[in-house]
Amino acid sequence: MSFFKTMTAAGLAAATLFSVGIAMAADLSLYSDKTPWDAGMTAAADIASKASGQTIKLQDITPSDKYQAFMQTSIASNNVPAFFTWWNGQQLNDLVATGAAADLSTYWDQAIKDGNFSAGQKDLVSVNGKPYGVLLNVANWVVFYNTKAFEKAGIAAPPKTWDELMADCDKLKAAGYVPFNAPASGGWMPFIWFSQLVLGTNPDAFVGLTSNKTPYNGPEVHKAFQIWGDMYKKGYFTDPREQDDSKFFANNSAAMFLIGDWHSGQFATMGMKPGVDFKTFLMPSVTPDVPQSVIVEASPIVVSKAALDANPDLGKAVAALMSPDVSNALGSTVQVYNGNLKGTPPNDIIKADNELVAAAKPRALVRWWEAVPSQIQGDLVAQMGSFMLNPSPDNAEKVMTQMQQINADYWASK
Amino acid sequence: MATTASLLLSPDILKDARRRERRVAWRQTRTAWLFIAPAVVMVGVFLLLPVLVNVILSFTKWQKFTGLDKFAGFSNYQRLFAVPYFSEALYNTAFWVVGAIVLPLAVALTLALLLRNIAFQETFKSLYFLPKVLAPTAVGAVWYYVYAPHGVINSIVAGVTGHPFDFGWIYDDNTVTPSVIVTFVWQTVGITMVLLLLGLAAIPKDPIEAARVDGASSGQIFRHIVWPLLLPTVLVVTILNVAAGFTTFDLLWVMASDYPGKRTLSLAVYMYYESFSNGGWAYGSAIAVVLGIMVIAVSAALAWLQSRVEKSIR
Repeated sequence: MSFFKTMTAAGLAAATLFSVGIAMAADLSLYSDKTPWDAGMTAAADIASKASGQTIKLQDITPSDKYQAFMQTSIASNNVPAFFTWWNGQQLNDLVATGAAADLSTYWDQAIKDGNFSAGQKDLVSVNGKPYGVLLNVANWVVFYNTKAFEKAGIAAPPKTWDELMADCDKLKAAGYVPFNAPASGGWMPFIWFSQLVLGTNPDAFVGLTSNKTPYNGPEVHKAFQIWGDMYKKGYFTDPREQDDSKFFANNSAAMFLIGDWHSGQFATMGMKPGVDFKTFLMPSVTPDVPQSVIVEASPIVVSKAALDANPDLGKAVAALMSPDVSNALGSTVQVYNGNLKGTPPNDIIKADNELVAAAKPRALVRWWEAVPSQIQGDLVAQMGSFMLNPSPDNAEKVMTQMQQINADYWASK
Repeated sequence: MATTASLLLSPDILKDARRRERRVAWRQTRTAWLFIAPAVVMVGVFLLLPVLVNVILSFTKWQKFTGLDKFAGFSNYQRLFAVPYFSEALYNTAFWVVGAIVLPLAVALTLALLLRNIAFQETFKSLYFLPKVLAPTAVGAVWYYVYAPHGVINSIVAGVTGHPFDFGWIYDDNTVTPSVIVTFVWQTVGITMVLLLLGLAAIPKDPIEAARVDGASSGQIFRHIVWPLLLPTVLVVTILNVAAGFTTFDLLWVMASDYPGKRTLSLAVYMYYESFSNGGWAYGSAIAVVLGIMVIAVSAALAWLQSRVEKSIR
């Protein structure tokens, strides 16, 4: 076995060194796959560099699957970057299990004591009660709506119930709009409506999907697909084949868009004014007696345990990443909010969302994308995308059967 | 049999002469090795070593972060036959290979025969060759918009028929692969045509002239003279296109990025998907090994056939 391991480790080390060798030499970089946020992350890296006296540079690797491949090979060859973006949920669990991520309890305790973050926010990046990342982005998943479209359709205020939402969709259609922008692009977007409809009918079933407690062809999922198919039949969604995920909302063809509130920054760069041209509301539950829930997306920056142990000064960089300065830098450059309670929300949308959530106190749930095992994530999303391209009842049955097969095979192999 | 020199020279002198010959030969060999050493090192380090590591990885249990140091035996290879995806990818790859051989050859041969004796043929050759110099990912990105629901093809159809037309060429199970094959043909027909033109130029004119004098038609001349003499070139082109067909990835990945069944569009795509998207490095390596063996086997068979054909022509 040692020859085996030596050969494979040697080969991997050679391959990794060849492909990113120069970049990795004395590498205190911050690696990221979130290219649209480069300006903010560069600013964050600069602040962290000044605080620690170390040079921390941003390194981009896209797309996401290439980035994950890079991180997997880096960890396998014990060449972990000092800082890198990751995902919470199951993805974070898998990463922490390798021992590569540093336990940041000390920094979180200080940050909570200083009033920068809350204990609830610490849970977003915790595994077994210990935090293994600092927050880069905390986003609530809301419905963006075009204020002019609502006005033209005669909708005075955002809907508070599902029936009101469906009635508003009819009004918007009558006014010449497609109610919802719903692309299937990017290899990830098909899960959005699937997970929202399961969540809106049965939040416990939603949680159970990713822990093998809720089958993907069970009655809860059947109900979600039935509603979803019905909405397609009524013409409530845009063509899923559009590659530009914001196009129909930005060009005023579609009136609403269910997505994370971090997207407000992108709409702003497309010339739409947050709070003027578009506002947001929380998606109401489908079933009236189901309490309000909201999907929370949290992206952490993970710190390498080896890098932190070898270079204690990096701890100052970690503390700096949790400061209001970094929060404001992210907000002012790319309108991303990392949840810092002393930071300024980057725009009226995120400020309003935070107030909405604080007032409604919905049940906050981890996004399906982070909660599902990554080994089956892509396969399940492909099935959901297949339904979006052909939202017929027959195809729905086929898709649910396939999804459950994928899910069952994965859990059987554990 | 003794040479005159060996009869005239003493054994010692002969021995010295042979030693000197061996030293000269060794110095020449050493010089040759020094010249080719950089290429050998490059091939060894950047081609052979990764192939060897890939084979080793295919016998591990490496999935995402763990399993690199665990021996998996042949389980990754057994898994190939236990899941339907491999057979689907294999079927689609076979479709690709046939399409990659037949279509570029047919189109390129037609163009080559047409362009042989016309004015401005160099200009035409350059124009047809131009797509080959473009990066496949760029070609894929552009052709995506040719096939997009509101892309070029559908806009033309809508314009001609007067009715909206938004068929999803690269979203439909029946048309996704043929659509990408058309793009592949567009990109490769130029290089295939150039190779065939070289082959046509090498065919001696005398047999053709003699056949014409005897009253043979153009079709008969092509069938009985041109085609047999062109066959070695056709086989070279086939070998190149077979390898390209088996390993097609970039066009498929870029053009069919949102097609739900993209995982099994070809073995190369399947290998990438399992490795990079699912983190199944060991399993992806096994797919790569099997794909490599297939390409080598088919290419070797075609190369053998080509050498037999060349010998029979001579």
